[in-house]
Order: sequence, then structure tokens, then C-alpha cells
Amino acid sequence: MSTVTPLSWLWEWPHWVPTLLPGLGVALLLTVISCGIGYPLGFLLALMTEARSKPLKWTALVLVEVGRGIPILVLLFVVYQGLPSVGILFDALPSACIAFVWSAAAYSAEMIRVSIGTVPRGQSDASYALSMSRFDTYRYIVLPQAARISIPPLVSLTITMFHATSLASVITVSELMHIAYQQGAIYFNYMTVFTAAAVIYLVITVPAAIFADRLSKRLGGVTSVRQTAFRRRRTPAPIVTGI
Amino acid sequence: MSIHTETSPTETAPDVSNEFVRAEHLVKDFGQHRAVNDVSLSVAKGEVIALIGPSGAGKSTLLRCLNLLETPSSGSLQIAGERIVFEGDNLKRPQVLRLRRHTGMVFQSFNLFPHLTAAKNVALAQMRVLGRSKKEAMDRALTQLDRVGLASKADAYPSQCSGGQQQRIGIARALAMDPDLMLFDEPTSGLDPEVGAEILAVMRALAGEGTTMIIATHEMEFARHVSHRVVVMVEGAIIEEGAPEQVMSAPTHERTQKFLSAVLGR
Amino acid sequence: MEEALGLIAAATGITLLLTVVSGAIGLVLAAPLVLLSQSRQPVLRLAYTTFVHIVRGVPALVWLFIIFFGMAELNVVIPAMPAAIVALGVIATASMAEIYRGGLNAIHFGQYEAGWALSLSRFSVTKDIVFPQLLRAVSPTVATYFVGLLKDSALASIIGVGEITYVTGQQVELHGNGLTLYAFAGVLYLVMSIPLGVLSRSVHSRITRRYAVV
Repeated sequence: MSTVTPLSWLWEWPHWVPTLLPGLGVALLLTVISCGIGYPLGFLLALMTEARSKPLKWTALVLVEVGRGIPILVLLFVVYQGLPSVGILFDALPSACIAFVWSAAAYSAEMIRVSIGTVPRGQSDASYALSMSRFDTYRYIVLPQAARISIPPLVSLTITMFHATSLASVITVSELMHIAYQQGAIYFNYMTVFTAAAVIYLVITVPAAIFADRLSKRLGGVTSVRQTAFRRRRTPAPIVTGI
Repeated sequence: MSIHTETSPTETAPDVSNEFVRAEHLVKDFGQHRAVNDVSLSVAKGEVIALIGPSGAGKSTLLRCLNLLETPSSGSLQIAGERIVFEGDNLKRPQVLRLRRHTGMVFQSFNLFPHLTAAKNVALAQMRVLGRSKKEAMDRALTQLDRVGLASKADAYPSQCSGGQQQRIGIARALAMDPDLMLFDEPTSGLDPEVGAEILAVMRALAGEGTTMIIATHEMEFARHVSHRVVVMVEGAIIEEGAPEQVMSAPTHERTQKFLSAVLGR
Repeated sequence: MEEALGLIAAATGITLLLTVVSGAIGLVLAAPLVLLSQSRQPVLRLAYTTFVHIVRGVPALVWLFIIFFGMAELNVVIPAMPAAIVALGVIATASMAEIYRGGLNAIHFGQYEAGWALSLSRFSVTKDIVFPQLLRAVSPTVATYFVGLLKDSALASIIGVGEITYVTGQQVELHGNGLTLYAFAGVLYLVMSIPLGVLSRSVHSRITRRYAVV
């Protein structure tokens, strides 16, 4: 490839997509692993934060708050460059997996915890009034409803995790951005390759985001009649002047 | 049995010596606020009690103490021979569940399980608590739904039913557990008067069949005609109780008079 | 070791600078942007949606690289710190616009109708009815976003901005002790996010006290 003239990246970028696609595969793999393992762990953590046993509760709270409060990049470095100082060495990809799973678990735990809180108290009242045990109440009444409520935010979280995988490039995992950066460094065509990378991310993210949006509208319709009455207004409200 | 039974419950007055439910000196505190203040109540088998009083008087809390959705701070409770004394934090879960089995509750906001059909709403606890098989539970569910006139809605979801229908499903769900005592927490307060009449008719039929019921309600005419005894609660305490005609036409306590005149416009 | 910890702690200032400046850019620029989404012209609404989807549909790291590396290649050299601020600022603008939009949608249409029925001018309706309710509705979400922005600032370390993560990396290369140093950095971020949470709650309650719950 020749050196780039100021605007040539506008039409050159498609040429780079095939080179970058394997990186997309890695990014998707990381997303699937982090969410596939992270969400069930998050669910477990959410239940643990509601537990009566103090040790369980506090362990879960610490894991969640640390996982949510520390930047993912720092988590990545902690696992990849921090652990070796105490003798635990992980390769780049496993390190990334560990860090992302922790992150996904922490964020999803919080979402699930909030969803459980959103289930109206009357539901557990009615269940207990029927003499159902705490376990059965959670299993048949509370958790099914909480699951429904938590699906839209979890879909959004998955998209966020997909974006987060770009950080794995910093610890040399050979995903999309890593390949893009390497190519850019070789051919000095950063703008071109990064544009190609951006397009690839867009192609995956935008449909997913629209899907998540539709999903939350559809699932959200169950709870409030007042909301539906309000949604009937189709055109946006004019505020200052009619622009 | 359907909702068309016309027997007036007061014709079949219960035997008051047959003490079925006995609450003694129940107290419930929420922090500084005493919601139930030394309430003692005795209910005979087959008796229908109307619990009336201003909002915030503690009627709901009292009902929730009777099925242990709230744990009383002190006092004792006995239902169908099962007795618990409340002292501090000594309550064991199995005790609670055993006592609760004797009661059924119908809520002001229905509280139907939205992700289950009407039939499943009525069948779930039968299977999980009473251990009935799925077939038996569903059969009995259909019977109960039919009893409240909703056999046709067995496979509908709560969101597909009107308010009055939802409440009737709620009643069927409670009845399916064969409780000894039915508790109604302002069952018609969330409904239009027209629709409320459907519910009252179901409750009247239940009373006619000899069900032991305690009903917290604002429906004064219903209280007068369907209950055997009216209990008036104000600020957490029972200030008056007695036969409907007596309490409602000629109350002895001044506060009752005040409440009734505000409510009935007399 | 203490020297390393001290250097890392000193970098807090840069981290906060990145966070606050990008956040401020977002807060301010999102306001005119969200007006586009409320326009009666479909073209303008489409422009808004396209902008927001593109900005938020691409990871922050990619924008950062495009602005720092990409622009340099096009002979527009932007130093690391401004590049980071611009990248984070643009993303913040798009995200805050969406937050504002959500807040606007949450305002019951009846509020506008009441204002019109009272013959209030459109400007007055905006200033006295819509804006206070908008503030109240969005402040928790905006606060949460700021905490997120604090964490995103760590990305600037990748292009060499001397904030917490970058300095920590440097120190680890020089002295080892990776776990201790990175854990310390993590704790710094955690500790910084607590006051932000407290601040947001107090701002929220001050706003809700002045404008009583409808």
C-alpha cells in the first residue's frame, strides 16, 4: 500500500476489513466467554448479596464493588502484569478472560440485584400468604419476573463488554484493535485501518443496540398502563421553538 | 357451587362458643410507630367479621399479623388449634408456615403472578405447598375458578383480565388452599363500584357457605348485611365491636360515631 | 516503594482533570445536540440519531486512536492530553444527549399542556416547567455517567497521558511490585468514586428539595 494522501482513507478502508476479521473473531470470542461465564457468576453474586450469612454477603459485595469500581484496563493490568509479581503467570488471552469475566460478573450482579428489587413487594406477599417457602417464592415468582426485567440491561451490558474487548489489545491479545494498530504501525495508515475497525464495530453494535432498544420497549410494556397511554403521543414534544 | 347462593349468612349464626381464632394482646411496632395496639380478637368458626375504620387505623397490619406476613412484636395467636406466642425473635420458620396454612389472603392490589395463567396462579401453591400432583392441582384450580365464575379464563394471563376478574382469580387462588380462615384486605378498594359488586357477591356466597372470614372494608352496606360482627379500629386499637345493627346505627363510642357520620354522611 | 506510591497518587490530578473537562464538555454540548432530537424536521432528528449511534457504536479506544494517531497522519498533530479530552468529550456529549433525551421523554405531556393552557410563553414553559423537572430526572444518571468517565480516563494512559494508570505502569516497569502498585491504583479509583456518589446524592436532594415531587 502506498502512503496515504489526506483523504484516501475514505475509500481505502474497505481493503483492510478482511485483514481485521480474525481480530473480530477473537473479540467476539472474548465477549462470549466473559458474558457466558460472567452473567451466571453475576447471578450468583446477586443472590449472595441478599444472603443472610454475613461472610457470604460481604464477600459478594467486595467482589462486585471492586469489579465495578476499578477501570477494566486496570483490572487487565492487575491480572497480566500484577499477578506475575507474586508468581502467578497467565498468558495474554487467559488474563483478558479472567479480567473480563470478573467485570461482567460485577456489572451483571448489580443489574440483577436491582431487577430483583423491582419486582413488586405484593408478589412475594401473595406467595408467602399462600404458605410458599422462601426458596419457592424466589424460584417460581420473584426470579422469573426479575429475569424478564433484567434482559434489556443485560443485552446493553453485552454490547458494552464487546466494546471493552478492544482493551485486550493493550495486553497484546490479537484481537481487532491489536491487528489494526500493528498494520497501522507498519504501513503508516492509521486512519485507514482504524476507520475499517470502526466500521466493523459499528456493523455489529448498531443492529444490536436497535435490537436491545426494541426489546426493552416490548418487555417494558407489561408493568405500567400509564406508560402506554403516554407513549401514544408519537411526535416529540416541541420545547423552545419549533425548530 | 356458584355465586348464586342466596342464603343470608346472618340466618346461620355461628356458634360463638366454638372459638376458632384467638388473638390476644397483639402489638405491632414499626420503629416508633405502634400500628397495632393491644388488639384482642376472638372469632368463631363460620363467623364473618367486618373490620372497619379510618385509613391508617391498622386494619391491614392486623390482617397481616394474622397470617404472619408481619410478625407481631408481642401477644399470642391461635388458629384452628395451632398456637404461637410472640416474644422477641423466637419465631421459627416451620411454625410460621404451619400457622399460615390455615389462612388465605385476598389483597387490595390483587397481586396475581403476571407470568402465569389464571389456572397456574391457582395451582402453583397447591403443588408446591400441599404436594398435590399437577393434574389434581389443575383440576381443583378449574373447580375454584368455576366457583367464582371464571372457568372460561383459565388459560388467560392476568394482563388479559379485567380488575374484577383478577380479584376473583385472587379469591380462587386463596380458596384452592382450603384455608380455615379467609382474610380480605380491602378487596374492592381498587375497583369501580360496579365491578366491586361482583366481588361482594362472591364474598356473600362464601359467607353463606359458612366460611370463616375477616374482611377489612370500606363497604358499609356490605358490612351491615353480610357480617355477623363489626369491629371498629381506630389508631391501632379496637374501640368498639358488636352486631352490625348495633354498631352502625347506635354506636356507643364517640369516635365510631364520628367515623360513621363521615363515611355514611349522617 | 513509597516514592512510587507517591508518584501514582500525584497523578490523581491529571485523572480528575481528564474526567472533569471531558464531562463538562459533554454536559454543555449535549444541550444543543438534544434539541436536534426534538425537532419537527425529520432530517434533523435523523442527523441526531446517526451521530449518536456512530459515536456510541464505536469503542472509546478506537476514537482515541483515530484522533491521536489518525489525525497525526493527516498532518493534524494533536498531543496526547487534548486528544484524550476531545475523544472522551465527544463520547460524553453523545451519551449525555441521550440522557437528556430520556429525561425529556419522561416529562409527562400533560405538563406542557398545563403550561400552554395557562398561556405561558414557549420560553417560559421551557425554563420554568421543563428544565427543573429535567434536572431532577437526569441528575442521578449524569452522576453515574461521571463515575464511568472517571474509569474511562484510564484509557488515556495508552497514548501516554500521565494519569494514574500510566504512572503506575511506569513505576511497575522500573520497580516491579506489579500487584501492589496496580492494586493501589485500583483503590485510588474506588476511593475517588465514593465522593462522586455522595456529591451526586447531595446535589440530587438539593434539587428535589427546591422542586417538590410532582
